[in-house]
Amino acid sequence: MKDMKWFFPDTLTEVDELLKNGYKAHGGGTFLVKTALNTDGLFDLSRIPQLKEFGISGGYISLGSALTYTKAAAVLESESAGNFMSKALSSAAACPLRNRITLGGSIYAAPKWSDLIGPLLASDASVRLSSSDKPSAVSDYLSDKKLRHSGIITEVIIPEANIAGGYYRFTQTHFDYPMFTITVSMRGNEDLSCCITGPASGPLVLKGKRAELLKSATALPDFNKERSLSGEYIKKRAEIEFVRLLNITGGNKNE
Amino acid sequence: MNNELNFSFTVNGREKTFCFPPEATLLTVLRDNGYTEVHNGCETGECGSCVVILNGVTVNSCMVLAASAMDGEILTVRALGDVHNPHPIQRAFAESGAVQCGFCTPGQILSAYALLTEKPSPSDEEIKQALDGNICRCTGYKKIIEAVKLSAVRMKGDDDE
Repeated sequence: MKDMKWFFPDTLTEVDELLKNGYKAHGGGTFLVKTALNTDGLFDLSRIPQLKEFGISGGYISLGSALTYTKAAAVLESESAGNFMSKALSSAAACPLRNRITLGGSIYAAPKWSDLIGPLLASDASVRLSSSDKPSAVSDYLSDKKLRHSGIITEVIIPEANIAGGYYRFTQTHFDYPMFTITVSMRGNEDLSCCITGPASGPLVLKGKRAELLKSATALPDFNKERSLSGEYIKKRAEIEFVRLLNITGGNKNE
Repeated sequence: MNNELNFSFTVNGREKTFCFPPEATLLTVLRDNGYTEVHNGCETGECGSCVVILNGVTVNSCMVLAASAMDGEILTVRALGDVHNPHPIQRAFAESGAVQCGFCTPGQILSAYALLTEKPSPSDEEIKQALDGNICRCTGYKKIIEAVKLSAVRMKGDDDE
């Protein structure tokens, strides 16, 4: 174990300086505790007021990156009851963890079992980084290592119109991490944007008319074996649940 | 250890300074300082036996790096009451048969307390969601949910007893 230091910045200027010195950001810390704490220093983001702000403007919901899942779910639910984003955040992990996991930390770590990544990708969400004024699509942030390390996430920006739809997570028991998640975002009468997390190749985003997506639902990529279940079983289950969610989302806008 | 931190938290209403290594979790700091009512179960944030209330919300103390709780307000189950003067939730758990081996009970009671502080009349679904991070291997969950409902009634003063 290194001689780790702790820092408690009050401003993003201080954060940038700490990042330049190679220190790591601490949001809720749940991912850091589970992974190696092999770093010279951590800086805690909970004392920067700007990172806990939220609001709606011009059709976009803005959530500060230090908001916890619990707080973000409450904000989203108050804006749009029954939306898939708040459903996903409310069903992730367990209450004491949801009270601790932050949006920014969760997107940065992007574990395979995340309940947040699928809904963000399906809703075409973006993130603003401390290193740039221009938001980056979450899909770009996840695929571009250089971008991920250029600054901390300060804000998550979600198009308000894109969070109506359905969400499903597959677990063996409620408090398990999901082996896959399916998000269906409604964009019009029959236009949908979907994301399936869990395939071995990474999250799959599918966009199109409901009828087209129903056809592609039976040809998903491969899944790895997880716990006691084979990859074939998980894939078949994902196909069945995808078809089910496609069929029920829209009849009832918020399944 | 030469780089131990000296940080203050308020635990159960009393501000104290604790000395601990930078990578220590809140669970180990609390237990090492005598708060053994905070139980050490899975150490992976899954069982809920180490739940404490930090700044008004429940957290798994095994998943919180102690340094990040600096200046925070922490409640353990000891703050609510004791065997001579139990909190209505503690009494309801005992009377409802929601306690068997008791290992998970401090976490269950703190989760119930946090819920009832925020929502005095929770629905069954809200109770299940608030306690979904507390695993009990003895009772099943029916008695625990009954105990939370009984606590809600008593804390509102609606009890006919």
